[in-house]
Amino acid sequence: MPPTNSSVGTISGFSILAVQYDHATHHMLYIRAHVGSSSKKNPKKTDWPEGRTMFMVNVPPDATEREIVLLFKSCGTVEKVIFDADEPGEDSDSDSDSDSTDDDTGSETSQPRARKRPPKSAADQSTRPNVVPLPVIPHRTLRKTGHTAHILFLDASSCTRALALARPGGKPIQWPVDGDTECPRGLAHYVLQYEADRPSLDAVRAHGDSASKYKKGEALVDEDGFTLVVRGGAYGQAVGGGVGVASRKFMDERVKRKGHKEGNTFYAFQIHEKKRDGATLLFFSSLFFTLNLISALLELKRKWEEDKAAVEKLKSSKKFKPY
Amino acid sequence: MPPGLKRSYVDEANVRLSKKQPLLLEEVSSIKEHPLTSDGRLDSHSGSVGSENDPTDNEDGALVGETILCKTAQGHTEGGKAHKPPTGAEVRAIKAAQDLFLSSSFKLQVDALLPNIRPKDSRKPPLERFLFSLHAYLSSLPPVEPQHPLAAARALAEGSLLSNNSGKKKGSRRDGTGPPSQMVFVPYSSPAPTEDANWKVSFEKPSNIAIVGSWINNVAVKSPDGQPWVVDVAVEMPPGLFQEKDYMNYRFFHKRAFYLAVIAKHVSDPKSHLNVDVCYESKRGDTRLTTLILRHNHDNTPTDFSKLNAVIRIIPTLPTSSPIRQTRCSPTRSNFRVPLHELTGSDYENRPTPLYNAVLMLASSPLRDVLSVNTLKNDIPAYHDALSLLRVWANQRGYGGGRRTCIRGFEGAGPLWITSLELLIRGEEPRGEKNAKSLPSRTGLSSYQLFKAVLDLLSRHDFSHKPLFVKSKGGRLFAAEEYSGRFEAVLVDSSSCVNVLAGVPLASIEMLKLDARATLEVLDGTCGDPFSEVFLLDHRDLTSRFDCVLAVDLSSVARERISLHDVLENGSFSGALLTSLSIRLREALGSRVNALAILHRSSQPRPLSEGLPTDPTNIFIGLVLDQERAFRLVDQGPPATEPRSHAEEAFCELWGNKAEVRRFQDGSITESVVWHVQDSDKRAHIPVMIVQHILARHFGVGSGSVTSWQPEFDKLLRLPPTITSHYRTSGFKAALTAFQTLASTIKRLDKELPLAVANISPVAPELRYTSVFAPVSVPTDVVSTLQPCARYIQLIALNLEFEKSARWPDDLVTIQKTKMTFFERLAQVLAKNTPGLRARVATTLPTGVPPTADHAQLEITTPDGWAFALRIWHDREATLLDRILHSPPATLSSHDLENVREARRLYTQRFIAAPRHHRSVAALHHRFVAFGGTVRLVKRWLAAHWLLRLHVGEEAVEVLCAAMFVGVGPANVPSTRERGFARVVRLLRDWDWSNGVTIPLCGKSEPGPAVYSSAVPGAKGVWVLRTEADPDGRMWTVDAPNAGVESGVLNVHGMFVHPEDDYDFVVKLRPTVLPRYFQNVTADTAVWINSGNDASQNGEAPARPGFDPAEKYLDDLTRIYADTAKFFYDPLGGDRFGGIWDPSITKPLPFRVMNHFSSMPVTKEHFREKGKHRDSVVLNEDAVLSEIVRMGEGLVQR
Repeated sequence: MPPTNSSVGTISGFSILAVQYDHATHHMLYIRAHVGSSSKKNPKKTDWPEGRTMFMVNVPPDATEREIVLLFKSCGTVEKVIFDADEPGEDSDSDSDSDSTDDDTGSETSQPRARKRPPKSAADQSTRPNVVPLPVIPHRTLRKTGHTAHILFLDASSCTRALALARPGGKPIQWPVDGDTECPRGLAHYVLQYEADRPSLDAVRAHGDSASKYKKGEALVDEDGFTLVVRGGAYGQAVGGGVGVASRKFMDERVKRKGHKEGNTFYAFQIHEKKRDGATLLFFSSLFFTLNLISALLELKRKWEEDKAAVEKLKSSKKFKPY
Repeated sequence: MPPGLKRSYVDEANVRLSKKQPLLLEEVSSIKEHPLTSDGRLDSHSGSVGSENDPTDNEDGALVGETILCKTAQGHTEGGKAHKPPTGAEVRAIKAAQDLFLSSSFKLQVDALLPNIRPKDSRKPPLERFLFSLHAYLSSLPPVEPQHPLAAARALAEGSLLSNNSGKKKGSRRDGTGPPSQMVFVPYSSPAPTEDANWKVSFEKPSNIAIVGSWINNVAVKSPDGQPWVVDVAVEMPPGLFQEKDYMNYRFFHKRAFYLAVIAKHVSDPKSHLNVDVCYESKRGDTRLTTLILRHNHDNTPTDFSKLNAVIRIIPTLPTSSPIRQTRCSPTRSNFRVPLHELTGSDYENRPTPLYNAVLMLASSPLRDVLSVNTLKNDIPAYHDALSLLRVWANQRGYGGGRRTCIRGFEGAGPLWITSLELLIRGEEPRGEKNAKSLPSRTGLSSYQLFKAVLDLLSRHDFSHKPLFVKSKGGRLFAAEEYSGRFEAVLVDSSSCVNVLAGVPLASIEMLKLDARATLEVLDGTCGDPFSEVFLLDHRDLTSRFDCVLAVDLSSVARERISLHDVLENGSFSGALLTSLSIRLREALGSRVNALAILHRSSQPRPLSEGLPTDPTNIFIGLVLDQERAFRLVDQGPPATEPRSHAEEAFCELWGNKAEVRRFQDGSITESVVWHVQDSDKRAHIPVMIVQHILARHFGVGSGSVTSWQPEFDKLLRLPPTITSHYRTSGFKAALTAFQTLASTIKRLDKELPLAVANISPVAPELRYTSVFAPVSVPTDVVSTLQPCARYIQLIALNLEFEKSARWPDDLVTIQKTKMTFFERLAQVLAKNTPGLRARVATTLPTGVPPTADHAQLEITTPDGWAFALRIWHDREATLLDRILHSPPATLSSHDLENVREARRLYTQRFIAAPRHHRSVAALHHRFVAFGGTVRLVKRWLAAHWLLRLHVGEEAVEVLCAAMFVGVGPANVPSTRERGFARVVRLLRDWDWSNGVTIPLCGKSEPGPAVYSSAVPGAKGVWVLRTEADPDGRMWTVDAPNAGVESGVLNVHGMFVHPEDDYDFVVKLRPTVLPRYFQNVTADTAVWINSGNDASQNGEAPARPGFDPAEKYLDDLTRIYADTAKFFYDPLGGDRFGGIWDPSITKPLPFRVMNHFSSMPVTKEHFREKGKHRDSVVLNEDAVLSEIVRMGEGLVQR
């Protein structure tokens, strides 16, 4: 049902921007100006400039930066789009805009699964310098539905204009679906992804070597502390298949034997104790015996009652009619 | 009516008395009225009527345990004094329940079951009133003068016979102003009396009328399928009607038929004011056993017993004082003469007629049986319950009546159960020969023990060779020798007159043996719920019970193949046919089958205007195969000798032109039959082929009249031939060979690798015989000739393990990089050494998986076109991950910790659980011939119902199917995949989802079942998820295969077509671009044959092993809309997928930044009526659908 313009208003401090997918279908974007983080609870979080940053909720799952740029083309130039789901380790809903609107975000338990880039991501490169990245074929990233984004405009006026798009009475704007040849959708996307996942062997070698510092014929341990993997390991030459299995089995048996022995000693200890008690306190032991018997009987009865209760329960669910 | 009246029926004295004079119920009830001890016990079982008989009276009985048991059961429901120590009586009761039954809960379950299968006392009084009036009416019937049988029958049909007679007394009736009375034909057996018969039929009022059978002894058990209770009324024909020679040539049966017809005529007469529907019924289709069935019309009169759902069966019986002597009915006697010109030799004239004689003996047995049952019931307190359990057990397995098919020979088999219990209690009559141990008498058993002992006897006794005689007071009437060879099986009851197994084919008895054995295995086993398995579940489903089921249309049987003697002996043509059929089939199938059964519908009442029952035209033949011998290609017969021996003649006679003389490897020359088959699918058809051959050769039943469903199932697992013709090789064996070749190549090359290869282990269903389709090889040059919709190449997963080395990096991310380096190296080396081999490193990193997890694989396409995916197992990863998990560094965020946990899970699944699973499953394939096929069919079925992969993992299916094979006992293991499939479907249907199943997959051979216990809950989780998504659970109730089989038209194909009505939305995909479309169940060949315009694209498209955009698309959708909707898709080439909105978000919810679904503000009306928060949002369904279509551009059909 296409929303009428009058219904487009605000919700929890967000302006509602209706985006038209096709003639009858509208997608709702919730936008507002980004407010910088007041608390210092998360100091490493990037502080986006207030004023020219827009916070957008319910971004379409397949949105690309380019599409968002196109969406706001009429309002001005977008400098950068940050998809919060891509930020590693970030609780993207505890967005720096910590005002009253997000009153229930704290209780939000399900974290969006941050999409980690393959090893070529910046984080890896920072800890392990000089890694040759795998060639990247750009393709569309599909994020979980209802995710959020921060949009940095080049200037504050563009941001204001963009926010004004959602004013009541404004016309729904068209989602730019057409013709992105670099990031196709659907079938072409999957073909591209298939190829992107399978880089050439040369690229793999360059990447892997740079990461693990392995070069054939080089020294075993390099100066960075990276260990090289070569023949002749902990168990010497390989002895053919099934080594691991055999050793594990052996271990299992050992554990089993051990456990068995322990049980015995425990049991013996118990017997011993019983004997000692019996020798010293004959009267009490006979008393114990009686008590034991009674408790055993009570146990017997308890079990019987349990069984009966279970059967009664089954009976009430009409389980005893064979046909 | 005094309450003691009911009990007086049971009284022995009553029955004896009633022999002398007509039953005078009032008088009898005043003579004797003492409460039966067993009766009181019974009442307390039911718990509802126990008030009048206080069971505390008889604490001193022999079976104190059982009696007190009931008392405690009662006392506690009232008092609930669970904390007090139990009294001595209670302790005894509890101990008795534990010792005398399988477990105390089993005992309680039995107690809960029994009242449900017994008639309600509150409904009985109208029936009793009716029986009085019936008795009075029958005792007042006027006699019919002796007449010629045919003339009498004509007169009866015209209605003149009785009206003449009565007209003599009461002339007013002749006017016939009332409604026209029913046309009654005399049910004379065929051949009917001829015109030159020199004997007469007549009628006199019964010399005695008594209620007999299980009703009078109160041991009746509810019939299955809502069939009515049967109250047997024995009507004793006066001895004066018979002559000494009446045992000859059906004369007795003709007289009996006339007697019955006269009663029918009278009772159905509206003037009788009985208001009943009257029908004939012939058990087993045998006209000699015809009885009269009275069903009361609903009229709310005091005698209207229709609420009880009971019918009255009138059985004419022979008085003991009749002139027909019992000695004439010895099994060796010949009591009918077949006209000589029908037969080839004169010596046939005196052929013994044991079945005929046995049926003749039955005519005097009803009253005798009542006495013996009553004695037993009084002597042995547990007898009643044991008999009830036994009959419930038998009914659940089709050994008895019911609307569904029953096993040949067991219809109306009540005496069999009574007699087998009798045999156990009374013991066996001492055998003549020395050293032969006869069964002892056992009296002190509980009902469960008796039940189990009967099953044990049935499962172990060799009925074909050893006759059984219940110990009888008067010794044997006929010697054992007289029985030998006359019947297929012999079990003579305590009166020593009746062989209760007469007319039961040996094949059916073997089926009974098998069922008894299977039940004992369940009772002795540890897993599952034995009680419901034994008593509550209906085991009559043909498809889950038999390995092969054939539906045979008998209308085309050549009638001349059955001799007249056999027809007369069996009482009907169909009886003779089925007997002969079962003997022939048993002979031909031999050791291939453990049991075979012929099933048909139980006989139905027919109107009085039909003298003869209609023969069943459709029967089913069910085979339970011996999985080791069933599929052998050669049947070896007797050795060939120069003058052909008798055995040789018989062999050739059986097989016809199939029999040939062959020389075998061991030098023997024997008669033999060879079955030619092309492939393993066909090999599974051999038993069916044998049945078809025998039917055609001996009974003239063409193959068109025999339906077997195996080929239909085969088709489901086969790819379309237009595609397979392109492939170079296919099959599981070929895939295994290719795997071994690759493995040895890699091992040979390991000098060129940094580390030696320790092990390459397969982890793919293609290499353990459980993938839906046989794996295929698609060489690169073939790929381009295939259409895009048939270009899918399955990757076969392998794990590679290098020798242990301490020099791997100690960093998780670097380990993954090192793996890639290894892959690159391996790829280069392989490509260099094997021309034509292609290898690519794939970094298939599923979204959400951290870089620390294993994510690289090497995809190898061999020159032959086999595609493998290789992963490296490095056990250091586990150590490193565990180290982090056990003591997480402070710097690690919760998100990263989650990642580590995920990586550990992936590691366990891929490198620990998967190889172990593979080994166990591969072992199962070798242990059970039908296992692989079952898994394949079930996978196909689940896939066709859009569940496989997204909702039920392939491994979960394998574990589930294993439950049908391991831990069920050898008698329950399916030998064909069709039966295995039916059993799995049945399990899914009956499965109580709240309980998981434990499957002892590993057995004893494998160490460490611990891993499996973790895998099984995994499977359970999947099922639970499934039920949450579809609370109706309708998915599982669809198309239980049996319903189709019984109606004769099982639409195998239809079972694999998914109904789409239950989905919120269904999206169509373009079949032409789906690489797996050719695997679709309903694949349209036109899609790949006629799409010539796509040919231009073929050349440029390279081979992409494992590429399935639809699968990726659905994975993406499932991830993106994880909290929005559940998706359902057929991974095997489905061209549609469906979705169901998550029920939790279909109503308005408060707006949140992270709502995890595409929302829109609620409209004004919405929040006004709900009174919700103003800032509520609802799911924007249209936008989501639009997004789904957009993301599937090119895949989704617009």
